[in-house]
Amino acid sequence: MSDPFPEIKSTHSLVAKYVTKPIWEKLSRAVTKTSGFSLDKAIACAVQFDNQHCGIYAGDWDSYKVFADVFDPIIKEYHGITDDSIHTSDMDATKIKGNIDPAAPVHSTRIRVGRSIDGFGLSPGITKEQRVGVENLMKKAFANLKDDLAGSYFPLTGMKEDVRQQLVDDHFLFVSGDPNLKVAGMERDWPEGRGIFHNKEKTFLTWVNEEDQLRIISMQKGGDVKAVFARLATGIKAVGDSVKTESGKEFMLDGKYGYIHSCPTNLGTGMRASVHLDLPGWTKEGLKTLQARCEELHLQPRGTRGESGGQTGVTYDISNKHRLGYSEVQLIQKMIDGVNTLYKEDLELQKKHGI
Amino acid sequence: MSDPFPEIKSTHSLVAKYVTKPIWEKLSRAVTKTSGFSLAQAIACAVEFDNQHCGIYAGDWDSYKVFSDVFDPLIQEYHGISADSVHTSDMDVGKINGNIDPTAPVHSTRIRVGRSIDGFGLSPGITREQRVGVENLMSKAFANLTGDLAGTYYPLTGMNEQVRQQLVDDHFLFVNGDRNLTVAGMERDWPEGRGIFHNAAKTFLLWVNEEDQTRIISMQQGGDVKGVFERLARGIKAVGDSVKAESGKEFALSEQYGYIHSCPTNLGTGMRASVHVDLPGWTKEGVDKLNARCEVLCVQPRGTRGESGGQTGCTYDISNKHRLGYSEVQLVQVMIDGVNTLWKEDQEWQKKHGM
Repeated sequence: MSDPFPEIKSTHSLVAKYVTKPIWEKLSRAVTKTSGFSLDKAIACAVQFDNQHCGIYAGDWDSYKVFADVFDPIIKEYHGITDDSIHTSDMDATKIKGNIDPAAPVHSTRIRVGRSIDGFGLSPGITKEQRVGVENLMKKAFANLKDDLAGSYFPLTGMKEDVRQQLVDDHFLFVSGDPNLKVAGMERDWPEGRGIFHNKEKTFLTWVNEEDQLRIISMQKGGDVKAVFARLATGIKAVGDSVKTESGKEFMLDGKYGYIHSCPTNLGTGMRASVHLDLPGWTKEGLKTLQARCEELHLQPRGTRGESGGQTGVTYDISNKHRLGYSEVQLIQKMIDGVNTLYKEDLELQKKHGI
Repeated sequence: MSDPFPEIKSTHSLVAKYVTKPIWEKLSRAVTKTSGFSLAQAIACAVEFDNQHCGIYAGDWDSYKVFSDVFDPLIQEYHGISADSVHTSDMDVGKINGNIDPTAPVHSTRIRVGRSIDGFGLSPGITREQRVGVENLMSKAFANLTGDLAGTYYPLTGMNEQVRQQLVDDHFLFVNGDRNLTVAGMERDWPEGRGIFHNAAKTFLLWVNEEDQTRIISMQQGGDVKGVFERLARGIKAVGDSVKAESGKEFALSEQYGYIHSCPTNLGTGMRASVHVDLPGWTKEGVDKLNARCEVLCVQPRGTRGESGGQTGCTYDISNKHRLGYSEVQLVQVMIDGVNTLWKEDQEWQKKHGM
């Protein structure tokens, strides 16, 4: 028996490059043990859309192994690592030099990582039972958090619509309907098993069962990146210890690829450290020029209404571009230094354009 | 999650050579689509026994693809083929030169092949439903056989014990209890779905659901190998056409590996062409010397009571050693020429030992 070789619409994607007919012949008849995930599910986005750069997701940790003939070269090419690279994690906030210039017009700072609990599938493949299992385990784990980390878990099911909308507008909560997430299988059984934990201040939060099992988030108004990072490090440790206490299970951590996420572009630190800041000078100069400058500084500019939200006004979400191949400390440093540079240059561009 | 690397007791087996820890890490979390077969199941014999030469079985055609990192080098080494070999089938009895010497003390001649129907699992992995499906399909297919091929199907379930024992003693029917078959998963749900078809003369037979889905057999008293081969070729074609007519399905046939069998050592022609012949001279000379001579002649000596039956007296089962890398015509020729040579030499040994 064989499965017909699919037409991969994203012809310039890494999937199109590495999922050749012989590879398809070899791997199309395999499914993973943890969640029964298959190669056709993994590459669904590259097959259905024509605009994917990467185009592949993992349904569980097994996927990275069983489909290694595809994932390994894609990960290597995307992240620019070598065959013998290993991942180094460093969450020591004291190693950060300096902070964002207090004069920079930073609205807010946010740092997130993804974490996945060994034994459960990842969002594209996770079974209904496993997803509820993750939520139940996290409810117990959250109850052990103390002091400034202590808070409440709010399931998406039954959440009041105006509460939900406010949490989204205030940049705390995820939304549904992203075409990539849907096609990749991450919105099955929505909204069951999904929710958000946060402390009273809404400075420490955790998303449950969106694109990853967990997104652990530290955020606050203003530009004190070091403090946000310190809280994140404490929070990740507390959540991990609590999960271990409640279940004996650890976060999925690979010697080569770091913390396991559903999207291979998030492997490694899984960390996106970002600020929302005004760049009126850069806006006048042009979005394309800003994007090119960000490339050089190893930063990524986005709009302020979520990953697929689009750009309006002069406020940008600026974050580290890389996830794997650098430690968390190194990426935070890049973000701080990069934002400071963009701000200095923004002032010059404002002068140039007479703003 | 990961499955602990097993201790492979057959330390000199091809499985021990090719199932390394990295390969295990990669493939232990995969199962096949057709029958949910895993690498652990495939290598069960090499793990449990210390005497395996090969030690691996396939649970379905998928297994050869999904676990090709193991099967490909193993098949190439065992059969002595190269990575770009293709299989050639030739069932044209007109190309056979000569026949076995009519004065040779041949009791009987038997030629068998294995055939598997695409879409069903192979014996180590086939699901219970699929196994019954194969039996039901074959029951319908047998009804279309005509002329000297026409006959009756006898399920093992409910077979009269005396009838069963007589069929075994007369070298027609398989037995159960072989340790390899048991450990490899081929005796699950025994005897359900198993049986034997034969024509009135018991010169054309078919085993259903033993080590392979079907073993197609032509046999008769005496040494007319050409006659037996001619009937086999006709019978295989008739059975294949009938299966196609009943179900639209074909025999599983790989361009590289020929006819798909559960045991990789049977790939290619899947053909064992054998005679039961008396070799009193060779027996006196010594079984070890006979074994060595057979190696040189590319034939394999066995006892006359099944593959694991052991050797008694001076009657040997002599058959072609190879299955893949040669056509059926070439292998039948090797067997004819080999037996003729052994018979000539046996007479010399008899003189030497004053028999």
